[in-house]
Amino acid sequence: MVMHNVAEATETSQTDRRPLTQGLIDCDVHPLITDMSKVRNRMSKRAARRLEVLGHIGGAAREPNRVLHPTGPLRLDAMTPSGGLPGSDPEFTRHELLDPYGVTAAVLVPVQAAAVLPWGDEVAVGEYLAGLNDTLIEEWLSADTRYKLAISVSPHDAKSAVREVERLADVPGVVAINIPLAEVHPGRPALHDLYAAAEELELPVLMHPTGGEGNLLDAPNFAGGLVRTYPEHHIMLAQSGQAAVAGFVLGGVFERFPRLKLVFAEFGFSWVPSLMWRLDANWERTGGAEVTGLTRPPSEMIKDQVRFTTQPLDEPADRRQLDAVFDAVEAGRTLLFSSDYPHWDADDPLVIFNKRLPEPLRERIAWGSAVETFGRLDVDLP
Amino acid sequence: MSQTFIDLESHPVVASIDELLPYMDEGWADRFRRTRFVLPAPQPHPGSDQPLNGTAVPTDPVDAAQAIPDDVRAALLIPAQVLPAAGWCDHALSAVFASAVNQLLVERWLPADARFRLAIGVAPHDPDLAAAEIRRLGSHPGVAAVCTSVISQNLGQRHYEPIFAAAHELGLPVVFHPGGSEGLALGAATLGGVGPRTSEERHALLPQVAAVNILSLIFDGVFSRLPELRVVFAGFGYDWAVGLLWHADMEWRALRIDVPWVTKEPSEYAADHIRLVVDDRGAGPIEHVQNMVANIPETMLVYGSDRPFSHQPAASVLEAVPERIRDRVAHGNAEALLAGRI
Amino acid sequence: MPERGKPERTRVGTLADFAPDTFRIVQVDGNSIGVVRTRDRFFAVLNYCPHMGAELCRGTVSDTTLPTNIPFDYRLGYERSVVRCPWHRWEWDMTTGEAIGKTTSMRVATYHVEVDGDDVYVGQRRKNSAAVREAVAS
Repeated sequence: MVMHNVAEATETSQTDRRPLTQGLIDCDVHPLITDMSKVRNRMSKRAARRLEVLGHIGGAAREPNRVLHPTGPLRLDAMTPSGGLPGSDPEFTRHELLDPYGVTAAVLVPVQAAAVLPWGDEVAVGEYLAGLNDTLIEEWLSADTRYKLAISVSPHDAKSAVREVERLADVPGVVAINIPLAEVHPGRPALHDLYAAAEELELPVLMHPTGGEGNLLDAPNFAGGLVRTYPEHHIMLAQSGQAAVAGFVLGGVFERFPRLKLVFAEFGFSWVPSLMWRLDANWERTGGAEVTGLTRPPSEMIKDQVRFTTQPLDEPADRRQLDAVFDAVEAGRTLLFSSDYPHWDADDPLVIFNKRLPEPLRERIAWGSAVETFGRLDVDLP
Repeated sequence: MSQTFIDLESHPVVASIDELLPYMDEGWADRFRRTRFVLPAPQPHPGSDQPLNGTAVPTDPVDAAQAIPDDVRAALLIPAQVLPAAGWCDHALSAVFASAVNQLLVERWLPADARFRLAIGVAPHDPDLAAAEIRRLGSHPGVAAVCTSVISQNLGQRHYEPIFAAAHELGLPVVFHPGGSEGLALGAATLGGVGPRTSEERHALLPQVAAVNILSLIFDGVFSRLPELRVVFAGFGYDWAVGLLWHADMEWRALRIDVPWVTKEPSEYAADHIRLVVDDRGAGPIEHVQNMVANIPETMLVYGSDRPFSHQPAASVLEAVPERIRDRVAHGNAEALLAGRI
Repeated sequence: MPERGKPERTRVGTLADFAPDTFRIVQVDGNSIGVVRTRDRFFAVLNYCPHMGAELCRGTVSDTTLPTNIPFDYRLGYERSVVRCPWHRWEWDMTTGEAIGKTTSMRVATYHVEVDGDDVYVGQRRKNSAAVREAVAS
């Protein structure tokens, strides 16, 4: 049994719920479009029928019985006042997240982009994602200037992805590019044109678990074989992030695009030291800068150009145990706060800042690294 | 330093297939010959500090014994050449091959040095044949463990039950070690993400195979059914266990309802049942490495040399672990693990 | 001993106000407390999950699975005395305030409930037997 070093909940604990005043950028918030006609109406008839057949929910929900959530994935207290699904109402998200916690900016990461993972019709992929992006711009970015958007692009076709990036890069509130990783290895030359555009336009490329991992054939694997229980599945979602980090390093992406920034949202980060050091050991043994074509050690590339969101933050018995990870990853450079609202495993910002993060790191993790990572954030900070 | 070591990862090497044929039935020996079966080369891990086909690989057990430092009191022989069987399709052939290797090691290597102990090599695809091999040799005084590689089924699936049951019956820990097909061949364990990958990438992601299988062993209830079973992961690294166990504990606190046979923290099961071989100091700054490793339950770490594929002195390898647990890692945890067999 | 000036108990409704297994969240002495009636028992718990401060009583009341040695064997128990937090689904035994399955040493605060005729009252905090630990300084 874990002997937690915290008090039994007392009445006074309830009073420590004042909004943070130092500025807070939440780098992983999930909007949900529940009326898909808004997206479908922007698509051609040819493409729209793909949506009808294959649906608009990401890979995990396509076969709902494949990996069952033990108690249901929806946070029942995040249902909207009109009975809508969690995340479907920008006003309610403002009421539940932005205002009470003092959020300065929330980066919207659309999980519904993951629907395109197994789509074979690339025209439909492009139209659907454009429709999703336009709908979110219209409904969320206009609702509150604190909302910012990671626009979604095709993981299958770099040309299509670049077109979409160029179309929307200058829309106020667009701050990142969300790519739901599929069958193309992210380090391969096939996707480099996308990275060139992202670097040029100062838009970080953001990745987030899609639910397709370890599930769909044309999606990143988990290692090993099929998992059986939900806890295993949930923990293993980190693996596609780990593989992508290694793939970007060894595919020379950081070498070719030294100003490109990547954001790994909701993959955790406690695994980063081990992977960094393992990549460094290989780099040294296989000849270092001279032989490998990578002129910086992998750990330097990662600390220079990759950012990780904090949720889900691990919960060792003593929160000071996290210091070992914070030190190893240089947390003041590499970590971005995230809540993951409104998912069931979201982190509460007040707890994270008041009880879990060491004081010297708070400002960097709250907003300092975020404003450096998202070049187009455009926020006023205290 | 008057430290003693127990080496849980030492690789004997068979020089040629001809040495193994006498240990097979005539019909099988003929099959190995006529199919031009290629004896797996003594293969270091991709990216290790030995080049492929390195010359300094002893195939004579006396030479291998002489290379073991005096402060090593026991060396577990893990027959790495059996492990590529995870990527082979002929399950019967794999079992015959493994059995021949084991028999050669029993007859020629074990007598060469009193410190040698054998991890019975088994091929993972046919668990009943593997269990038979475990029972065939499991009571031999020179045997201290079982070893095999992982296939595309996780260890908590029914497939491995005969292997674990046989090992449990005989009180033998089961050692898993990479076989070289991970992330490459259908039927072997996959790696995270998608390929094609460079060999450095596959090496970088190898720990994921151990990670997913640790979770499978715990969450699929293997230790509930086999309370004395110990499982060792050799050649997969170790410092990644910190985040994995923290996260596993967190998931358990939230989702215990769905895994009620997990009746204590996953990290406690790991402390009791899982061992990770420390065979490489790694490239991280030493203080950072030690601070990470300090968060791994102390009982979990065991030293391995990875001879002949690594030349890191034991003292150098153990710099990675905090000083206060070095004795445990050098020999204490291994003594408990192999109790009665060394 | 109740503090001077603090009532020993507070009326929070009548029996008819409490639908089975459904929390009513009430204010008692400035605290948000969830009161629920399950199978003819009443429970009152502080509407605050010690894990991350969620409103615990917006969660569900139910049985839950009993610890077992048999993988994939599900048996229900706890007689509807389990409250499950709506956020991370941590489960608490409302009879003791302890975590189901001993997943943590943290506890939820629970209160005495009295039924007097038709009226339901929330009383004092129930004392817990284990020592309270110091909060980690923020």
